[in-house]
Amino acid sequence: MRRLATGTMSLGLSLLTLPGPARATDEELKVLLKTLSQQVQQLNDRVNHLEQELAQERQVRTRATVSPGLAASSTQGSVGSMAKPSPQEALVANSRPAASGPGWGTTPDKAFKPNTVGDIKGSIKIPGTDTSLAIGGYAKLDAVFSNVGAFGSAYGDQYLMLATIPVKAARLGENSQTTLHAKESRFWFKSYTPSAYGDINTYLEFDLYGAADSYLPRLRHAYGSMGGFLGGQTWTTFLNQSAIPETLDVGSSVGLGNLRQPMIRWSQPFKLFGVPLEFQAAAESPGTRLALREVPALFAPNDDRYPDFIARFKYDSEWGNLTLAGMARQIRYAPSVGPVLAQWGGAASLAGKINTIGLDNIRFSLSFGNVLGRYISLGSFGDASMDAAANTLRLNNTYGAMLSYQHWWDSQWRSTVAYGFVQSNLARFANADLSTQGQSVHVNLLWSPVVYATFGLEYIYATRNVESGIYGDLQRVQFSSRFNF
Amino acid sequence: MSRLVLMSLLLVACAPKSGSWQSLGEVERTSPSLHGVADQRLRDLMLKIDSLVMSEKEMTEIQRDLYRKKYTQKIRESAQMISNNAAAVRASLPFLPLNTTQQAAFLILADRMEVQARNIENLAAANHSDQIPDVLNPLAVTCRACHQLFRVQ
Repeated sequence: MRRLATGTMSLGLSLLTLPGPARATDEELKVLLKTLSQQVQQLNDRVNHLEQELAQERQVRTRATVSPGLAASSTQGSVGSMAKPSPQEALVANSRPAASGPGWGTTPDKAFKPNTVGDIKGSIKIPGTDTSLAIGGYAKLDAVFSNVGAFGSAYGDQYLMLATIPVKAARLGENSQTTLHAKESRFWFKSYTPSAYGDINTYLEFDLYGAADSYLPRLRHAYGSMGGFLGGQTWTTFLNQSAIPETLDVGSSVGLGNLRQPMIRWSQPFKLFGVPLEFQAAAESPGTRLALREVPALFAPNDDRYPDFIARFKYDSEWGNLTLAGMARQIRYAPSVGPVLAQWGGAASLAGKINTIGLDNIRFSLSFGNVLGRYISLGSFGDASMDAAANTLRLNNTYGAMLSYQHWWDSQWRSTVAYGFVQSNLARFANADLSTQGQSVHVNLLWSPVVYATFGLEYIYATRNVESGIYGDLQRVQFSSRFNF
Repeated sequence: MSRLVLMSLLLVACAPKSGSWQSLGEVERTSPSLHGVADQRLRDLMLKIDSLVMSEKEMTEIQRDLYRKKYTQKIRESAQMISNNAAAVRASLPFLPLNTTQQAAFLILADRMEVQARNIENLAAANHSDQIPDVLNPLAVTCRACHQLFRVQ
């Protein structure tokens, strides 16, 4: 009887397992209430029926001729206890569902996939090994309308590249241009293997920005890590990548140190006064960029002797994260004839993401230094100004700032407003057409009807000042669709 | 009798909010229940996991995995809180003026909550965060149904 009662109630309540919205609606509750009431009624009928059967059975047993031993066991056994359980005991016992019984939603047995599933989300395990593999990425279309095209730069039409905002005569004939491309589409591959020295992860990621006018793959990330050690190419340690605002424009806000490069890095978690922190030390690929006197372009001499040294502290908490990074670099030029020009300099950065209400967040980045040029605003600035004829090399003081707010209208709609500023003080002798200052504003509205699809519209306004004092501006509207896989 | 139960269930479910104990065993609470808070937290954490794919496109997938693990661990803790709370919910039964049929319904819902929370806990322990929403929605329905029946919101 207990089983029957439990089964009946379970069956009735199994309707509750129907998929529904996160919150029960009034209509849904009415249906549940009705179902529950019906099932309670059925249960009562069933109990009455069983009680009648039990009474009849008892009568039959009393009349029947049975052996004393059998009669005793019947009386002391389950029949006796079923007849008169305490109400509380009966209810508790009857209402206990079997975990794998019908009508109780996803059961643990049913929920877990077979062993072919890897140890990380969406992965598969290579048979006979501990290695899990996964692939993923997204296909993204960007439709970009600019009030002025980037003079001679297809990249500049595809994403915000400060150095390509045209000024003066370069604006002529560039009015009102449209570009459609799918170059930001990405493909990644990752693997995970546990080991005695810590988890071994490998990660490869490509997009299609390999060439300005065609769709050649470009390596974004390629690294492996084991425990605290990482080797390969990924975001520079100087950057807090969670501070990058969500913009449709892959160029993102100016004033950010968004650079990926090869490195060797060690990460060490530790506690300071009970506060969990992470320390990272890295040696990253060097690459001197010089602002010349003769031409309005940056020169990469490729004469670097030492890697860029970067150290960073990170505090990660429920309310967000903060990073404080410092960098030391040598800027070096070694001509075939004449003296070697080299200087050491430094830079610092404070960046973070702070969660506010719900999923809303503030992201910010402040950076300053005299060797910051290559690290900021997609390499729009030189690390130093050089007058080769006078054997002079002067480091450029550079400042960058970015502030953004992301608001989630609901779980599908969200907006980001981001403002960025960057300033680089060139030497007086540097070419007058080189960039010295930039600002940008990004405002967008994004919609993800499902987790793996996003549509959005973004307005971008950016300005660029050059050394001579003149400036150019850019207004852009961008529509994007993104489908993850 | 069952018709009477049905009538009283409907009446109380639709009745305006009132104070103190009611005939069906309702109890007024000024603050949300412990498992109600934990349920909301589960929902928030799932949104955070979804937002990693929707909104954090500059993270590498390995970084997303780290955050997923972190959030999934918190989901596990919240689910544990809900399933542990089921015992306290059941223990409150003797203090509720319910008849046997109402007690049965109350216990069924408490058990259902526990089983569903344990499912979430197990899925989180196995790091299968993508399967959690399938169990999370029915859990919300259970909580809501029980509160509407037995508790003044």
